[in-house]
Formats: sequence, C-alpha cells, structure tokens
Amino acid sequence: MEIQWSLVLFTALSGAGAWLVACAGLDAFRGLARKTVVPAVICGIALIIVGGIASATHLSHVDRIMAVLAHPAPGIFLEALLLGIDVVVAAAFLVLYKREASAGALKVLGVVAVAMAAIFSYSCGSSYMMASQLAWNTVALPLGYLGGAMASGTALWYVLCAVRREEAQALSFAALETLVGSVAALVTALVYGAASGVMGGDASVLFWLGVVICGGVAPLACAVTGLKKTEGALPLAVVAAAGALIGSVAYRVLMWTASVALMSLFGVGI
Amino acid sequence: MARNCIVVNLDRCTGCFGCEVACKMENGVALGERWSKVLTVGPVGEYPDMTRYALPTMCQQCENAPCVSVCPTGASYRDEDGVVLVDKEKCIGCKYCMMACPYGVRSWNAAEKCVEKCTLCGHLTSQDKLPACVKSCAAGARFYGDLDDPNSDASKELAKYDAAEIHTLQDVGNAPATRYIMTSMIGQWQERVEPKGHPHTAASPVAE
Amino acid sequence: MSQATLTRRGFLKSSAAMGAVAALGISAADSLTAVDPAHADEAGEVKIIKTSCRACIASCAVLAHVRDGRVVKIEGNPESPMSQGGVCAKGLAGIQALYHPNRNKYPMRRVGERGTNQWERISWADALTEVATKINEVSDKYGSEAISVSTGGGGNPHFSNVKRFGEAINTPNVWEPGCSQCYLPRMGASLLAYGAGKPNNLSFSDSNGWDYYYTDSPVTSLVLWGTDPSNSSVATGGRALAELRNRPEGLRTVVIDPRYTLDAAKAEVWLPIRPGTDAALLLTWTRWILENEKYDEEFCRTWTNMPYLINPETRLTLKATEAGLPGTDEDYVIWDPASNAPVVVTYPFNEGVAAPLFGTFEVNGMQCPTGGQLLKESCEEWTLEKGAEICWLDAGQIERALEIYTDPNGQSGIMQGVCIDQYVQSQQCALGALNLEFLMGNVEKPGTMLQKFAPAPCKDQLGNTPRLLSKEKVMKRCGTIEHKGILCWDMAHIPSVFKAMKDGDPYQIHMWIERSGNKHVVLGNSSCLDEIVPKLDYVVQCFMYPTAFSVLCADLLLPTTEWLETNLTIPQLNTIVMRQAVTHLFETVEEGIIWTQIVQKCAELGNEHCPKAFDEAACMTTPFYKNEYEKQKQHLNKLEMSWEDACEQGVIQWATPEEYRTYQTYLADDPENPGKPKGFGTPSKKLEVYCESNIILGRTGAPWSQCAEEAPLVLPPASADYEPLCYYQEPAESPLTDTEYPLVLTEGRLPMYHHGTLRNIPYLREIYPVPEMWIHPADAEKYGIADGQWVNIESRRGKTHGMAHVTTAIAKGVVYQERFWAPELLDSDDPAQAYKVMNINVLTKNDPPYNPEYGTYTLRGFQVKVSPSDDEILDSVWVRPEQFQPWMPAPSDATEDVFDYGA
Repeated sequence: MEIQWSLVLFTALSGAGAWLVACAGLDAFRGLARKTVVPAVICGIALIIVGGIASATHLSHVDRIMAVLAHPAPGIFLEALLLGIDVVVAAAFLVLYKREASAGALKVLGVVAVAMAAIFSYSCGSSYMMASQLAWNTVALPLGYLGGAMASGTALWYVLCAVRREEAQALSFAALETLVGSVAALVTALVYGAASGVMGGDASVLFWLGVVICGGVAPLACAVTGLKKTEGALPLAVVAAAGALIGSVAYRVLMWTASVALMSLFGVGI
Repeated sequence: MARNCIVVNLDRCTGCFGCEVACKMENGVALGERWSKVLTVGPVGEYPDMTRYALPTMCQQCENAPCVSVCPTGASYRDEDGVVLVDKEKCIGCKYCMMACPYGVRSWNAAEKCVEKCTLCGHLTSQDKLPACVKSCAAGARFYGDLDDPNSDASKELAKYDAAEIHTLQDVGNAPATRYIMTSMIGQWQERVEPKGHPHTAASPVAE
Repeated sequence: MSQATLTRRGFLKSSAAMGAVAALGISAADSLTAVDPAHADEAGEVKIIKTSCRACIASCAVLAHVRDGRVVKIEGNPESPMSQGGVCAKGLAGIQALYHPNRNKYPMRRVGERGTNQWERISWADALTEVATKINEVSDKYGSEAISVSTGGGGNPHFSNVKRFGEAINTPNVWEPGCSQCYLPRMGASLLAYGAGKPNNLSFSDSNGWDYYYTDSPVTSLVLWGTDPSNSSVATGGRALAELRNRPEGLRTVVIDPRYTLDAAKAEVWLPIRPGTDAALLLTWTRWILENEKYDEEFCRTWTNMPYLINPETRLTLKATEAGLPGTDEDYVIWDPASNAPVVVTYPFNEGVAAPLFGTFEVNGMQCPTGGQLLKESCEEWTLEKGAEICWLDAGQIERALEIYTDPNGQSGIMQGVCIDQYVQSQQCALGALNLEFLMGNVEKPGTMLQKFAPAPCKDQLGNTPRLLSKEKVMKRCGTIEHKGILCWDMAHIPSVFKAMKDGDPYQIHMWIERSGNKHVVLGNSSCLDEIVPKLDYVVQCFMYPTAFSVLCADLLLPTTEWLETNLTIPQLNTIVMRQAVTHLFETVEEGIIWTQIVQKCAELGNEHCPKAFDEAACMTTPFYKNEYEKQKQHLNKLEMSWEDACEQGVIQWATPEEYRTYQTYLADDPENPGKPKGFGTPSKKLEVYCESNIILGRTGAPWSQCAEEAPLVLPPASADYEPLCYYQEPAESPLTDTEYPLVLTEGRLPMYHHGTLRNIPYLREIYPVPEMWIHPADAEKYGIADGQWVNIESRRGKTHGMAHVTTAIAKGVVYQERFWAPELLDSDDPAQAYKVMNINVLTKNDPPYNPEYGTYTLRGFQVKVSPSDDEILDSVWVRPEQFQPWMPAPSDATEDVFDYGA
C-alpha cells in the first residue's frame, strides 16, 4: 500500500506526546524534574494535537467528521476518544500542577497519564489489526506502536530534562526511563518483525536500519550511557530522541509498505 | 437476516467481461474504477492436468462484514435486507473499509472522494428487476438472490450442486455470502488469488 | 503528444461550419455534436425498444432504453432463443460506440495531402455527385473494372449489398479480407462436398450448428477445432456450449488450439497444435478412424461416394460410358464383389450389392480405385506418431481425443474455426474435416453439427446480382481464373487486385471505394498499402468513425450508421430477431442506402449500366432497392408482416422448434423424382468424400461461374488441378527450418473486440488496452522477455509490438497476439503509427504461396522473432484507463434521416 503519511505522523507524534505527558506524570512520584514538567506537558499536548490534526488531513471529507462522534465504534472513534481523554488528562494534570494541588491528586493523574499513554498508543496500532491484512493482523503490531511511542516519548522527556538542566539524578532517571522505552521499542519491533515476516522481506533494510538500529539500539545505547554520564546529557538525549522518532516513523512506514492483503482483486491501491 | 448476493457458476462463465461493462454502464462507474471485475485465474498445473477459469469478482456480501464494523461513521452499513452498502453522504474517505475488505473489492470514487462498491443494483432489485450484471450475463452464469430463501434464483442454482462443488473466496472469519460453483470439469478451485496487475486481467493463485 | 498535435486538434472546434477544415482523431466532443448537458438529466419517459446488436455477427437480441430520443441503456432481450437475454461487453458498450465523440457525422472531403488529416464538411448532394462523377469518368476512360470496391465484417456491414453495388457499377473487382481468409473456405468446401450452402457447414461461430442451441440435442461430445465460441460468439455460441455442458449429462469436449482458451480449460482433452499443421492432424485422425474401423460403414456405402470407382485418367468418378457399361456419362460405377464386376449405380443405391469402400479394380483396362481407397492412400503415412511429431502434440492425447470423438455410445460433431481459413491449406482442412464427419455418419442426425433446418421466411442477406456482369467483365475479375473458389462469393482475389492497383498488371485500377473499419488492421501484410494507395486517383471510405485508412488513404469520407441506427431482419433458429433504428444521429446513412444512392446518381449522370441494377429482367433476380422502404420489403421477404408490426413484435417465432428442426432432409421424398430420396446437393446426390467437384471447379469454374450471357460460364483451367482430398503441406515459413525467425505466430479472438473495431471504446479499452503477446515461460526465458513488458515482434514483412503475457496457456514455440490498433495516434505527427505500433497484420503474409482454390494468404502459422522493446512510440499508446476519457460518449439528439424513406 501507499505510505499514508498523515497516519504515520498522527500515531508517531501523538504517541510520543502521550508518553511525554506520561513521563511528566511519573515525576509526580519522584519530583526530580520540577523545571521540566510544565514544558513537557505543554509539548506533549501540542504533539498530541498536531498528530490529531495530521490524521484529519488523511480524510477527504473532514466536513463530515462529526459523523464519527455519532457512531461509536472501535478504530477511529476510539482513537479520537482516547486522544481527547489524554489531552484532558494532560490539561488537568497541568492545571493541578500549576495550582500546586495535593501530591495525591497529582499522583493519581500521573498514573492515569501513564495508563492513557499505553492504552492510546496501543490502540492506535490495534486499529490496523484486521484479517484482511496479513502482515498487520498480529498483536505484535500495536505493541510495536506502543514501543515506538514509548521510546520517543521518554527520549523527548530526557531531552527536555537536559535542556532544562535538571539535576544529575533527574537526568539519570530520565535516561532510565528512556532505557525502558527503547527496550520496549526494540523488543516489540523484533517481535513484530518476526511475526509479520518484514525482518526478512523486501523491507528488511528499513526494518533493521530504521526500526531496530535507529529506533531501538541507538536510544538504548544513549540511555545506557546516560545512566552514569549526566554531564553533557543533551547530545545523548537528542540522539536518543531523534533515533526513537525516526524508528517510530520507520516502523509505521514499514507497516504500509510491507502490508500483505489477503486479496486485492481490483488491484486498487489505498 | 437475508443473505442477498450474487452466485456465479464458473462452469458456465465464459469470461466475456460483459458483467464488468454492464455494471459500469448501469452505475456510471468512472474510467479506472470498477465495482465488478473479471479475472482469469491460471493456468495452474502441468499439461495435461491444468486449471484455468474466469473469476468474476465483486462485493462478496460478507455476513461478518469487516467493512461495516470498521467504518467510523456508519457510512458502510447493512440495510434492512442485509445488503452491505455505502452511504456516500456519510463517507469521510478514511479508506479504512478498503483496508479491511479481505478481497479488495471496494472502489475509490475519485470525483466524489468517497468509497463505493457493488450495490447489488438495489435500485433495480427494489423494482423486482435483476442486477444489471445478472440480467445481461451472456453465459447465464450469474444468479441473484437470498441464500436463505430456497426459492431464490441463487439458492436454486446452488441446490443443483454438491457441497464440494460450491466455493467461496478464502474466508478469514468474514463469512462471504457470494458462492462460486465450479466442478471438476474445470479443475482445482483456488481460494486465494492475486491479480497480475493492469493491464493484464490474469490472476494467479497465492501459495499458502 | 507533441505541441503540433495539440494545435491541430484545436481545429475541431471550428468544424461546425460547412467547408471549415478539421482534423479527425482523438478529440473530445467538438461543436459538431449538439450536446445539451442538461438533457440527460431530464426525466422523460423511458421507452424500451426491441432491437438487435451488431457489434459482431452474432446479432444478439437487445432492449434499447430510449429517453427523449437518446439511448440510455442496453440490456439483453430474453426472447431470443439464441442469446436468451445475454449480451456481451461489446453489445453493452453500444452506447459508447453510438455517441462516440469522434463519430463520422457528415460527408467530409480531404483537403491538402493524404495523411495530413485535414478535412472539410460537404453536403450529401455534393458527395454523391462527386463519387458518381468519378465512377462515370473512370468507367468511360479506363473501363469500370478500374474501380475496386471492398468491404469487411466489422462495423455494421451488409456483405451482399457491396457486391450488388459493384455489379451495379459494372465492376467485378469487389473483395473483402474475410472471404478467402474467413468463412468462404469452410462454406465453399461444404457446398462442394456436402452440397449445402451458407448455413450448413462446420463453422459454429458464423452461426451454424443449430441443433446445439437446444439442450435436448443428443450431442454427447464436440470437437472444437481451432474455434473458441466463448470469445468469438459470446452470447450465442458461447452460451450454447455453456448450456450443453451444464446439462446433467454434460458435454465432453476436445479443444484443438495452440491457446489454452477458457473453452480449452473446460475440455477433457486439449491439443495445443502447432499453427499451420491442421491438415496433418486431420489426416492422422482420418487414418486412425479407418484403421480402427470406427467409421459408419453402412452410411459411407449408402450416402457417400466412397464406393464409387475413380477413373485414373480423368481423376473423376468413373462413368458408365467409360466403363463400357450400359448407361450415360452421368451414371456412376461401383464394384460388385458378388459378380466380381463393375455395376452402374442405381440411385440411391444398388439393393443387395455390398460395394467395397476400399480397393482398386480393373475396369475396361484401367486400374480404378474407389473413392474410399484414394482417401485411405491419402492418409497412409499419418500414424499417430507422425501426426504428433509434425503437430507438436502428444500421441496419447491425440488418441484420447479420437476416442471421445468416435465413442460408439455417443454423438459427436466437429466445430471448425476460422484458423484453417487463414493459411494456404484452407480448402484442404475444410474438406478434411468434412470427411471426418462423413466417415462417422455425423450428418443431419439429431445431435450432429451438419444440419439443414428449415429456412426462415425473411432474409438477412439479400443476395447479389452476379448476372449483371458481362462475360467480358467477369473474365477481368482479378485472380479468379487461378483461384476459382472465390467466385462462390462473386469476389476478387485481394493480392491480385493489389497487383493491379500497384503495377497496373493486368490493368491499372484507379479508384477504390471502401466500406469497413480499418483495412490496415485486417489485411495481410497491410503496410503494402503504403505503395498501393499513391497509385490510386480517388479513394472513398464509408465508416462510422475515422481510422488509419481514413487518414492515410481516403479522399472522401461518408458517415455510416451504428447498429442502433440500422434496420434488418435476422433469422435466429425458429425466430426472426428484428433490428430497428432506435435513433439517428447527424447525417449518418446506412451503407445499403449509400450504395443505392450512388448508383442512382451515376444513372442520373448518364451511366448506362447502372439503371440495369433496378431492372429485374437484367438482374435475373431481385433487383437493387432504391430506398429504405424497398430494402425493408426485401428483407421481410416471405414474412407477411409490415415492418412496423415486425419491429413491434421484436422477436417473431415463425415455426415451432419441432417444425424448425428438420433432420435427415436427404431422405425426404424428391418431388422431381417421386419415390426416391432427395439426397444431397452434389451432382451425385451423395456426400463427396472424394471431392471431384473440387477438381471440376479448378478446371471449369463450375458450379459458381456465371455471367450475363451464360450460366454456367466455363472458364479456362487453373494452372494445376485442385486436389479432391486433404493433403498436408508444410508452411512456407516453418519453424522446422527457420533459424532467423524461430517462433510460430497465431492469432485469435478476444471477447471484447470484433475484427478491427471497438478499439476506441473507453470501457473496452480499459479492460484490454493493448494486445497481449502470449509466450510460454520457456520461450520467454530464452528470449529475455519478462511478463508485462513491451516486446518487439518481427517477421520478414515488418515489425510491431505487443505486451508480453508469459503463460503456460500457449504452446511452446508459439506466440499469440490479436489484431489491434491505436486510434489515439491518428491525429499525431505520424498517423501511420496508429496501425503500425501494435498490429500483428504488419507481420502477416500476402505473398505466395496461396491456397489454390481460394487464393488464401497466410495470417497464421508463419515465423516471427521477439525481443524486449523500449521503443519511444510505445509511450504514446494509451494504456491507463483515464487516458480514454476523451472518448467517453457525447450524447446528442436524434436527427431526421438524410434520404427519403420511400413509402
């Protein structure tokens, strides 16, 4: 199939944004990166919304978009719903944080933000699980969506912490979060690569270079290094984030290029 | 619920492409777009045991139609007679249904920027007429009707054959209603095929 | 497209005005087409009119839905017993043909040089005067034989009328590319050997095999010999086979075809024969049937001339006078084994004489073989193994096919396709196949292919007026002293006509009036026209839309009607299907009316021969009609109905199926010889297995030679005897010896096109935009051809292109491609490419050797080579569906007929 860039950008950006918000939410428990939380949530919300707008450019009749809301169903309705909820959660967290609400409330919202990031980024991928698309119809596909979003979200958090010159402990923890995210990206990508067969197919170069090396190995290496090396963390974080985002985009691109329809009898491209 | 669909007897079908043109003329389908398409499958096998047949394709009227369940707006829907249809006024053009269709038999109307497909010529059947492709089928190979109604043309034609001679395209849980009749006179039914691509009309089976 | 092309195309805009110059080509609707876009949306009442299609010769009954004078829908009419409501892609696309924006709409006169594609509109009155004046001038100056007239099977033709026209303007040089290359050999052979005419031969797709349209026919197996009814007669022949196969008892089939067609795919045995070797396989079958004694001995003895003794000196049947027996020189002689002596045949047969079918006997000092003996000797060398070797087949599969054909518990028949009409052995193959049917007794029995069912009261072909031509003119007909078989259709030999046009040998032809689509697409070695046409003073073409011939050759274009604008009666089994004009566009005119109008104008301008065309005494048959009303009356013939009533009924049943299906007519009482059976229409009233009539044809022209003064007209003999029995001759270009051009080419029908027509129909071109060249994977590998790739195909005559389809559906060593052309290139800088770029007839042969009887040249079974192509011209060929948008229909309102109806 044709690469649907609107949809690629949608899930890559919104997913990263959701996980960025999740990292800020997690900080409610440790309070290590107080300078970063507000810009991170604002960036997260911006990414989610930009991603959402990108998805709408895929539609030829945006004017009829309200019909989606009138028709609750899995797929686009669910994605839109989750996207909306995530923005609300992020905004609520931001307001409470600004108003210095109780730690308990922030912790609750922090947990919700993490859960929402996982559910949202997974759901964006699960919409593509369909019996008609043989290379997509595996739970490994949405797990990979989740993994890529997690790696890019955590790495962005790492970047913001470094930009805001947080303490070493905060940077080290951000590196740990990035490590978890990149491991998730790496493992889920490998699982999907094996399950769908793309790791050995025509798209194997994109898979190994783009998804595995850029999206998994590179941020993982940066994160491992950053666990100890908190001085000059910014370049590490930037490389990790760039790699994770490239990997996340590559994974989604790969999904389109490596799609295998059960049958395409009319030979019509999408 | 009724299971209205087209039944094609491939023993009779001569591969003339008449159904394709009848459909386009009746429904004003644009150049490059189609709701109905004839493929020629094969040859498969070695001389003298070879299989080649024409395979007219169109919306298979699945019982568990994935296109309906994935549609975010309800534009893809099933009407009161159980016919899977597209309400073009509601289509936002997300093409989700095109991805979800196991057979790739939905069409993109480039002018109206929405998805459309075989309607079983509901505008004709509602007046007790036959779908255009059935009415003019040069080989008398197409039958329309409700599989649950033993008196429908489709059911009556199917009743003449053994179960082993009645086929569907590969079912991945969507339960296509459309039946293809093909006996050993022709050879081996291929449940999953892939077109060679324009401009050829040939298709080959996909090895599992 | 170049800038120059685009600019020229712009001229179309101004062509509405009389005399304005325009180019014909690929443009969208021009201002000649009075389109009111709002019209189609008006909800006027829809009238459903019964008519019949003429996108091919099958003439399927259709229902035309007409709203406010415009055809909005076509569907099948289930009342036809043949098509039963079916219509194929060609017929369903009829609206796109009718309202094609590039229809020829008005008479157009060329301005500027030929090939520059510049035209001006003129009135019908001017056009008729111009043509008639030229005819009269050429006739006066050079003799009327210096005018050649041609037609063809594609594009709503009426064959016999073009012959009438030729006879009316006193020229014998009427021809069409079918004829010797399509149908005439099978029909002619049947006339000679079976004594039965047009509808009674082995061609199924030319609408024979009537019994097979009834599912209660006891036929159990059929041999489809080089025919693919599913492609060539989709809704009639193709449908009939579908119905027969679908009976509980089914239908066993054998398909002999280099292609694994969809008919072959349904067959029990497929024999992928090497093109050009059919006669070898026929001889192999004949030998096997004789050797295994599968023939119907009693039938052969009683109803064929197999037991008749042959005079070795005359090569004709031994006559009583030659045998020294009492009787006349019309009495035949057989051998009586009981008396061990020759006896004179007492028609229908000598009671108690078991005349041997085989053997040679001494009579009156001569060694006289029987007809059967000569048949046996003719196939002596053709063992299964030899046949398999020559035909590139498997001996075991040949035998399986034979067992099906000769199954003693079944009834079989042979359907013989056009392939055998398209190379040098046309008559031989036709006679050979008839003999198989005769041997098996497959004649006029329920379930046999050969039938003489009751004739319909109406006429689709009106017949021509051969006796309008004087002996002098008949003797000047090009090529028919050597190839007398063509006289069966009163036509001329195409290569001989071309020789006269090009070299003035034996005299110069100066004028050519042509009615058909694209001669460049259908003629063998069609590039030969490049050298021929410049020698002609004046060329007229009548057709529905411009073709390569229009742009490259024509000086005057006359617009003809599409089938939705035409009237005709069509016999279909026990019914008559009416074709009626459901609309009329612009100034188009049905070709028959054009012909009669020209003849009348010639007469008016002083031509002394032309008035005879309307004189029954001079014609010695029904004279030419003068208008549509008279034409309709002639078509209705014995059907006692008004044209309006007949059209209202649409499909008229004139007999019950039982009354119509008259079997074994040869056993019926002969009114001229009471108490005796009628027999067959041959001189001996027997089936001529030993076809001496073929010899007589070559020596004298009988039974087809005639003229104003004499019938029969005895012609001088051909350079060599025509042979009475099938024989095999290796093709002149043969894969067995050709190292430079290693592959054999075959052609074959497509279901969405007919002859050279319909390549400008958007919905058909998008299905099949360019011709596929089928090649076996082994050959593709050998010549570096990939699937879906453009390829060069070259022969000793030229080069063209096709798109490779690598498939096991074609025999190894053989490539297949069908005729094609690219109307999109007409209005380009090189309009000749419209016919050259992907037209297999650029490669075919029209040089000797020819078939002795019919002068058939070689369209199949010659040598080519293939290679991958990246020729630039291929970029200009339309392949993508959206490219055909300029040809989408431009509906317009009906107009009045140009000429008076006449009633």
